[in-house]
Amino acid sequence: MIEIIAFIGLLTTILILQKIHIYYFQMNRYEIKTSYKMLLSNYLIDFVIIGLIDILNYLLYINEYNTACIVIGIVAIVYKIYLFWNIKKYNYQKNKLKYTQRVLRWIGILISIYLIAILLIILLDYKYIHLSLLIFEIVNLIGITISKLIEYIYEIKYKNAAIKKLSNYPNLKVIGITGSYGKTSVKQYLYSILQNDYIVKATPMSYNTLMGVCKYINGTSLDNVNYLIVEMGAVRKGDIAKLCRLVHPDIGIITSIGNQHLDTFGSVDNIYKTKNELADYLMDNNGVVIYNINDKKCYKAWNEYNGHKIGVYVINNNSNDINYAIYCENGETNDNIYKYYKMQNNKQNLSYYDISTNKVVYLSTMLLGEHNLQNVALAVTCARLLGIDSASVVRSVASLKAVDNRLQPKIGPGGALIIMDAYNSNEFSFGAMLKVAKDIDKPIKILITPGVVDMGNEQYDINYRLAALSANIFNEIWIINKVNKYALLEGANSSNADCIIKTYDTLDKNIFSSVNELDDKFLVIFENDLPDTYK
Amino acid sequence: MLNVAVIFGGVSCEHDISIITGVQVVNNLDDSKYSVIPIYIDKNAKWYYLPQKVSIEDVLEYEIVGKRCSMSADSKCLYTYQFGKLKKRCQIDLAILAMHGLNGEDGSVAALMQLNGISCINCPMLCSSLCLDKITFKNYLAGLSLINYLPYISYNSSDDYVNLDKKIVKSFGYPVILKPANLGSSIGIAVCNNFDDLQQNLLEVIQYDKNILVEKKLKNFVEYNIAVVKFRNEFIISSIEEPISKNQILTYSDKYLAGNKIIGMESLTRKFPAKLSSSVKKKIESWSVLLYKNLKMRGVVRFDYLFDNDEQKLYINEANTIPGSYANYLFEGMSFSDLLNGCIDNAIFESQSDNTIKYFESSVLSNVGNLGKINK
Repeated sequence: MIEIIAFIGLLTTILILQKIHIYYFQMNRYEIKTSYKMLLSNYLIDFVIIGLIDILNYLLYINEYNTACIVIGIVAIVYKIYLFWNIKKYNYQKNKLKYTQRVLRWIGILISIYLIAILLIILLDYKYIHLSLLIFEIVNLIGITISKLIEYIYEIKYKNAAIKKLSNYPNLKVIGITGSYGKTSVKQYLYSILQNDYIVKATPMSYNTLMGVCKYINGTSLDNVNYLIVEMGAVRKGDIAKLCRLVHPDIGIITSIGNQHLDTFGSVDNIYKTKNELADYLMDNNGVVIYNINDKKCYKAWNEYNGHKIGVYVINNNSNDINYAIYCENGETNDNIYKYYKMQNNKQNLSYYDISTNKVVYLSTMLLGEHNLQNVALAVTCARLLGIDSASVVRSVASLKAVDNRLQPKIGPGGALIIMDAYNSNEFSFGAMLKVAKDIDKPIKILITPGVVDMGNEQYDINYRLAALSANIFNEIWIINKVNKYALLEGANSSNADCIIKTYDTLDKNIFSSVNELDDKFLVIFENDLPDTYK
Repeated sequence: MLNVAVIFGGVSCEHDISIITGVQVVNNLDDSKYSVIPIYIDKNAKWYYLPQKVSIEDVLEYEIVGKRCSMSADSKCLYTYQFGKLKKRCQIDLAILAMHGLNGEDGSVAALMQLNGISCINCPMLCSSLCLDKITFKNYLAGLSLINYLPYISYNSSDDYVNLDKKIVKSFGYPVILKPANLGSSIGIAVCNNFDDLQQNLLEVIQYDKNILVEKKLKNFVEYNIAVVKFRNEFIISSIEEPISKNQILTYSDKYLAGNKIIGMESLTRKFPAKLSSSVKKKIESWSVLLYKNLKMRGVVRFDYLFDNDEQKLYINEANTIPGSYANYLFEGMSFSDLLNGCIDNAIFESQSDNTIKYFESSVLSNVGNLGKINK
């Protein structure tokens, strides 16, 4: 009887905790350290309780208090089931555990180790069966280690397949895009411009890691393709260099250098160095690097770079006079800078001077936000380098669409103007959104945001500052989640502006349905959607 | 390697010619670049998957050599029958249609490919079906009113042919040509010099199609053929040929059975390149490109023109969206495989812009409410 209860106790621990563990590992890119850090911060009390019950049971069993042992065993099982329901309610709400190939392999490995462990327990006369948490953690760690080894072998396999495939296409030109923000937009704009004259492929939305790019290359037909645009994401030093060794870019675009992923990079200097790994590779391989020199750190990098480089500079043309633009152009001696002039009217217009035809080219775009003009300028510069003529560029730029959830305007069912800027916000894009919001002419403006995250030590200050600015522009701010709640609240209050502030725990259906009812007097902006780590 | 399907045969009067074109295409595709999947559609509309290097003899023994296969409407896969069940065979990246006439050239197969998300080197369905139906094509030209065409009357089998006679006399008079509306390759075409001829020939032509195009017959004329193909953003215009017929007009046997030997369109007696004045040549070229652009065509299209020597006037006769032998004999200095390579490259190029916007998020449904529960 005792053995049966203890066995059920062990099984419940395994089934319940293992699922949480796998879930957290999947969320944290299968990193042991960060996953355990997060697990312990969320479940420390539960772990301690289970551990204590385990020890108590073990002691009772050894001293042969059988009835007490059974009672506590049953209580423990009930507690674990209760815990399971709570987890289900709060944690699996938005992103469910995905049973990918990797997870299935891992589960296979775990089952086989569990069988061995159970066999050992039976051989040791059920003595340690009560120490369920300990058994579980040991098996789990062994499982992760074996799984990691296997994944490593798979990764090498995928990588070699991708390298081999790329070597079959010697004429394929590769354009690498990196930066703290703006890379997905530049990628999409460049794709739209190039596809009128060439066959172009670009890595899809979230495929910007080494494995993601490998997977994309292995699964895509590259026959007849002229240009492959690769978005290069980095969270660690060396990430970009690895991607460069895989795809061998001929042209590089560095959109911005900011503080994104400071947690994993360790220091601002490391971010700077990592983004410049693309430039370092191109220097050794005679490529061209295009920098967005509106960005301060990019400007610094551009200055320091000795290879073939181009700086893209978007200038506010206050005089609204195109002759001024030409004057500036002719007066400029540094041919490493491509200048774009922002026209001072309400529309999002740019102009540049085309040396080959001696004409001023006017670009007009429907995209919102000044940072988007920089993104367009970067894409246009790259297209010009590749010999796309101005007429084609003008046509493509006019039809550019916003990337999903990046300052993407929509009209809600009730008629309100809704701007989705929910994708991975940061200080920079938050600021760009504020500029856009300021220019839009609507009587009531609502901001829905959880603030920005992944900012290291400065997170409180940044959110405080952003909230203070927002309060002057918006009539209402709806704060989502508790991560930045106080920073945003205090920031908004500090501005003394007449702004209503509401707080919500999660971004749920009720918020969406109330937004859907708003009429055309309203502007609603969704700024940032927190990564799973914060839900 | 791209998996390129070459589809030929089909339920059409031009079934056999389609096989010739199909086999030519299969054997001219570059082995090192593409893995070729020849698909033959027999006269009962059944699909067969044939071996990679296919010959005419193989096609004739398709039931022994080939494997029954099929496609669905929502995947790029080709399925073959195994023990009566459909099994995935391979993915098709690109399709080359080598089908003439109905159930192929009319856009039906192009439509299937479009549904499956497979890009085709040929014309999409709209211009394919429009060009196949001779009456619709003429109606289109009438609307476009930029290109000359021969005056015509459309006749349906349910109409009274005495009435037709009156119309003919009233508008352009005898002799006339009767053409079944939806057949290519000059099948079922008949010349009528008077009302008796008309009565007799109508009975025969009606067997091919219920809708008949009645057209003025030119007395002293020459025919000119030209092909146009688009490689990315650049139009390539072939030389012009002048096919010569011993009879009054080019018949089926002239086109394909010259010397009792089936070798395809190349064997036809012809003048090539045709000798014609530069102004006519310019007109032919510009009209062809104009039509190609206006109908948003793709791949090789052959345009046939008639030139009236008496009146010195040029008329367009028809547009073949899938010409026999892909009209490769018209392109001087370009081999068949180069032509196919270019077409394939163009298809990949154009399919990029096909993929842009297909779905538009709307709030229509959320505003409708629950329709199922409406009570009156």
